[in-house]
Amino acid sequence: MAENLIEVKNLKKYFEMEAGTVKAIDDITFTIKENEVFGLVGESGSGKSTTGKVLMGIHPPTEGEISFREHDISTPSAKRSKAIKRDMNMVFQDPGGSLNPTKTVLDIVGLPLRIHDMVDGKKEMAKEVYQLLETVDLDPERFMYRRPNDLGQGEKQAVAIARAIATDPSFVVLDEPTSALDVSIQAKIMNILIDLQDEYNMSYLFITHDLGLMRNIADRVAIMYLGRFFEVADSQVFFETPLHPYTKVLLGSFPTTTEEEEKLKPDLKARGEIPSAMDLPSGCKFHTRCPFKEERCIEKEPKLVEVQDDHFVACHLVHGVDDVEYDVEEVEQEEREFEYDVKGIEMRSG
Amino acid sequence: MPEKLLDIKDLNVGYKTYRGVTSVLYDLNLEVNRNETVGVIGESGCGKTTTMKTINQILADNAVIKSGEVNFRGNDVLKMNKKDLVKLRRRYVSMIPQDPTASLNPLFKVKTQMKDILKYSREDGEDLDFKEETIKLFNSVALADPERVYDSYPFQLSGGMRQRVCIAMSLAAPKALLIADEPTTNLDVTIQNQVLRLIGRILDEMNFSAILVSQALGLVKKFVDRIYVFYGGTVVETAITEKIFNNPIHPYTRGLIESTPKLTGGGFSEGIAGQTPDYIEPPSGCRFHPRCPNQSEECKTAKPEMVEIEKDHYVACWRQ
Repeated sequence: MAENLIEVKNLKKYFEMEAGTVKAIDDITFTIKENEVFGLVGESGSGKSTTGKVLMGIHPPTEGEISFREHDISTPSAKRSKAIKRDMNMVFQDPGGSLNPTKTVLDIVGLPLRIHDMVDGKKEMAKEVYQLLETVDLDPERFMYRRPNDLGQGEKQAVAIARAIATDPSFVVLDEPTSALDVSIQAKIMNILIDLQDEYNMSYLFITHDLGLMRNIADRVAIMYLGRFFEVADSQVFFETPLHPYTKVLLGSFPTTTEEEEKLKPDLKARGEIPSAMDLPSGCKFHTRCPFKEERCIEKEPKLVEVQDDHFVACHLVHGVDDVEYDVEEVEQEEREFEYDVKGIEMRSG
Repeated sequence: MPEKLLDIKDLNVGYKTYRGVTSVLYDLNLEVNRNETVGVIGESGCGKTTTMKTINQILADNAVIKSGEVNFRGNDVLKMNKKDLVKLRRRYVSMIPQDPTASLNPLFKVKTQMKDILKYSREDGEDLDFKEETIKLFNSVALADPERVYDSYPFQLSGGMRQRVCIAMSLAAPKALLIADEPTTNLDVTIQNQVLRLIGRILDEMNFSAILVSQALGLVKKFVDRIYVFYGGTVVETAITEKIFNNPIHPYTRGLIESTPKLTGGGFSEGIAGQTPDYIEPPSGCRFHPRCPNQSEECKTAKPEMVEIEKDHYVACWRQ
């Protein structure tokens, strides 16, 4: 058994806005193992990016525990120890926006090395950066003294990756690292990410809305909707035998290019749009769009239950009738009402 | 012979920049028949949007049309006077924009904007019951709660709803050609799927011709009859949809298809090395040759001609 690198327990993140509270993350629990790629998929507004940012300490959590190799890190990043900060890093979605346009590639990639005192002087820094650029497949001779404006989208993202791995971290959050890139360049960046993960034994939290991309990188996948996890499973199980209706809908909507893929796709079409996180639906949060919704889905929120080995699903229909925990008082009340009815009928007929 | 609705011939378009005039579209040829849905695929910066904007003449001020013809129903759009162009845009060609947020005016309610469109694009525009017509259109694009949308500002609507409003606008009057320029890029897959199903249904019902521009191969595959693959401002391969996916010939088309990650797994391909060309000094000969895995001397010197390698399947490559 691989050891747990990151453990998250009952994590919540609420944002207080003028118009009300936004429940961006609403009680999620998961672990990321050593040397594992944990994927997070979902539509925009589901809380994927917030999860990544909370792990990195960019937002402090509202409630819940996060630990990194058994150290508590449910604190803002300013309060984390330098050693932990060195061990965690992030690559952002927009490669242009996350690189300082006035600095050269050498300065950008070298900065974390200087902050963490990993290099002694400019010369050593240049040497390190030279090697880092080589690992992300950029020719150091050509790129070291350029500025972000002179780089293509893919090259910028490669620089961002080089910066993220500069301090030799064990954990990297990748928040839609290729969504701004063309497919041909995306393939190259993904190959670099996969090679690096292998070589340096890193764990990734890989966030994307692109299921095809997820299938090819993640070891385990969680699907998120309005701040909740709906299904968590090994990648193969997740894509080949999904159980939650939302997973099926999302897979069914994915545009494919081959016949084999078409066969994998559940024949379920999406309806409606993701509701506002400020005004959440009652019961199961997906019931407004679910093709199979029943009475109980509107009334009671399903729990995330392990239905098979390492396959967790939050859906009443998948759990079956036996697994639903009834509210005892509610059931008794219903039974009493039923009796009343029966008596009423008898009296009238009598 | 199917009747040609749009016939673009040897089009060359560039933009004035401070470094000189670029050469973006390079002897581009494209045809759309009546009642046909055509897909245009290629990476960003390959001239897809420039081509679409040339069709109804809404190019930026610094654009230069160097040569070529854009025949729409037999008339050359490039030679039209202003009055005819206005008529073309109002009555014949409509465009679904890439970014619905940017194409709706944030200061006016949806109803005001719909009214303008209806008033000027319909023959009987002056005496329409605008509200009734608008609600009818909103219903046809499956907008939930049309009454509320009618009386809303764009910011009060979600991305999917805004895109539906834009589609409703482009359908306000019967058109001959619908251009959908990456209509779903900013939307989630679930919404993407709904919007495209809607466009597909409308095309079926109304007998439009349409051009669907996209970077996502999977999307295009499902909705179009024929595909043009663009690279560096020119068409490198064109065929009916099946043939492009089952038997891609051009190395660029192959690279694109292989680069698309599959739901079945299997990892990532190599991708395509290099970058889209610089249009100030574009590569000589075949514009793809600097990125091509099997280039030869010939590729550097002359532009390859389109060759029909099987029925309805044309490729421009020296090495095929």
